[in-house]
Amino acid sequence: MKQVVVTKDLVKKFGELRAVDRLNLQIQKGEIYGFIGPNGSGKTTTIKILSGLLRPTSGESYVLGCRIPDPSIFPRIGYMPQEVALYPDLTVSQTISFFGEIYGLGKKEMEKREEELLAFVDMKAKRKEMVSNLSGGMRHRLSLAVSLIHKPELLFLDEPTVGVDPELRTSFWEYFRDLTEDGVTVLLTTHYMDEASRCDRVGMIREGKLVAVGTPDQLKEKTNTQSLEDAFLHYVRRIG
Amino acid sequence: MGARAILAVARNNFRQISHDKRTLGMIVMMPIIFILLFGFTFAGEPENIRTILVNADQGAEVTFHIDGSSYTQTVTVSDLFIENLDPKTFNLVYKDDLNVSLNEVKDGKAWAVIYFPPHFTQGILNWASVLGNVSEFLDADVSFNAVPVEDSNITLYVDGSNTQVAAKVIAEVGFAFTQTIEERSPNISFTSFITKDFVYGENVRFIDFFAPGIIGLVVTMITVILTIVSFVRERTNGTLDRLFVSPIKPSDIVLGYTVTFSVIALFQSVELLLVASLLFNITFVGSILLALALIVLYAIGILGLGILLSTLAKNEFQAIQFVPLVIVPSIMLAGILWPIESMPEVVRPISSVIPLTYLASSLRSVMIRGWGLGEILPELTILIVFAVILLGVGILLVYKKANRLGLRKRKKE
Repeated sequence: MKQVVVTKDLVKKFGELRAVDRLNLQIQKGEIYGFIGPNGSGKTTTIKILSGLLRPTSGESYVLGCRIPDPSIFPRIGYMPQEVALYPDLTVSQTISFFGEIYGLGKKEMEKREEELLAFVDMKAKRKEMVSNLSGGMRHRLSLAVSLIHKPELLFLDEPTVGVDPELRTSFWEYFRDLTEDGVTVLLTTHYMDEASRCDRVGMIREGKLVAVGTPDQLKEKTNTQSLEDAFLHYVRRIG
Repeated sequence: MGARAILAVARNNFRQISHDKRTLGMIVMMPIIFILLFGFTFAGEPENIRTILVNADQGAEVTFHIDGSSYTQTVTVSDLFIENLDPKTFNLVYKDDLNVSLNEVKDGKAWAVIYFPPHFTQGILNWASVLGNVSEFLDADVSFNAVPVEDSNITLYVDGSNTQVAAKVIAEVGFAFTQTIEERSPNISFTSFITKDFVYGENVRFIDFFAPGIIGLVVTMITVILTIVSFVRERTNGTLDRLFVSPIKPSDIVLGYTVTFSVIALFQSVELLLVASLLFNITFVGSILLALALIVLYAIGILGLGILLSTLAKNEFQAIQFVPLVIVPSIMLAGILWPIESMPEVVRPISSVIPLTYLASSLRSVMIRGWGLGEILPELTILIVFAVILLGVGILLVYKKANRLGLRKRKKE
């Protein structure tokens, strides 16, 4: 299987703090890879390094076959930051068309894409609404839609379902699954164990170190636990 | 990408501003408020200055010769001077007691006392008789005995705590004095010794002098505030991160902003010139296109400065504190209200590194002197250098924020 993300002894230090500590990742094309770990364990830092927003202190990483940092991967990746990251003084429709233009989408393509994305996040009725007037969950949905605008091959989603209601969360996951069937790879972080169990593979991260990797079933088996949550606690406590 | 991405960023900025009614209002209203404020505050000189007049003039004995007969009469000439005091400048109050009047000045109830001493007329006529001019001075056939007196000078007691008011009082009293002498003795003219010939700007008023500076100031304010706040907000919002992982080049983001603020600066300058022309009839003899080109060039430099400052601030609250740091030296030291020549030697080097200094001076030359490209070339060159350096540093800093500095270098390894 083709590896879309590979890191070798990736280290990121902020002063004395090792936010990422000799991280070795291999993510396969077409899988949903979930990062789980406590707050401050280095999930977001890793995603920021892989998408090119942060420079690692040492180590190598390859994304879509390119040694990063490399701007040539930008048109091929989608990034959804943890914060909402939208312009409050734009309408929903203007937000989508701005990012569409940034990605060089043609006018017709953009209109089509806007329809698809608004349908997917169930926001067609909100088209003319100002972003500043949207509820938190709505903004999150729009934020996800914006990350998908250029049909990226690889998606970095930092806590994509925070503040999203359960029904929509289910449809998000169905959509992620659809994407992977088209060969898209998804790397996401989450705090929800039910979501982690829907991932193809899970990486448990603690204090910048990858403490366990495997399918949800493998992790339960290895730790001899009934739920992923127990497996997670097992790993987190063992290191602590 | 290039042009398309730049325009996308600019359009995005305009859309945001058009939805943000308060920012839009600030952009539209600030030039008008500024020109009104400065226009009405500085266009006039001090007026209606409360001044006490104490006239102790006892007059002098003069013998008049009319139709062969003669009679002697006491004449006081102080009234002639008082008539010539500008009624707009002075709010005159007449009092008899000098000490009471002085106390009013000491108590801050009046700005000045004009005191005519008892021998004032005698003194003036003594002087006129030295010139053999008493008849002419009194506009009648008279004989007058010059008797030497002491203390015949007008004494001006002035509260000098407000230099502008004090200077105006002193100048106006002097002016009334010379005017009276000249009226009364046409063959004595003080002003005839000096001929004035304006090389530029006859009838130029103070507002004409500072209007170019005000344009610069408004452009500085809006550009610095909007750049700093927009960039810090893009950063704290996370939208800048989104742009950094998209195909748009950091330089295109900055250039998009440059387009936005150039358009805003142009709009505000035209608005300011229109309002200033309609309301204050300001002088504009040069090329308007050249003037606008200077303003845009200046705005580009200030945008670079704004980006530079925005990278030093962690949040909008810190960022906004940089604004007075840019604005106050620009008001004080760029030669907007006071000529650079009137500033102490020690601050002049600071003036020379403030971009507004060069905009104000070149814009003034274009507007009042009607100078063209050739004549303002030195200032234009400096403005270009400022714009290139500041915008260059701004772009560099955005590349740094995007972690894209030295990327090419690393690839070669």
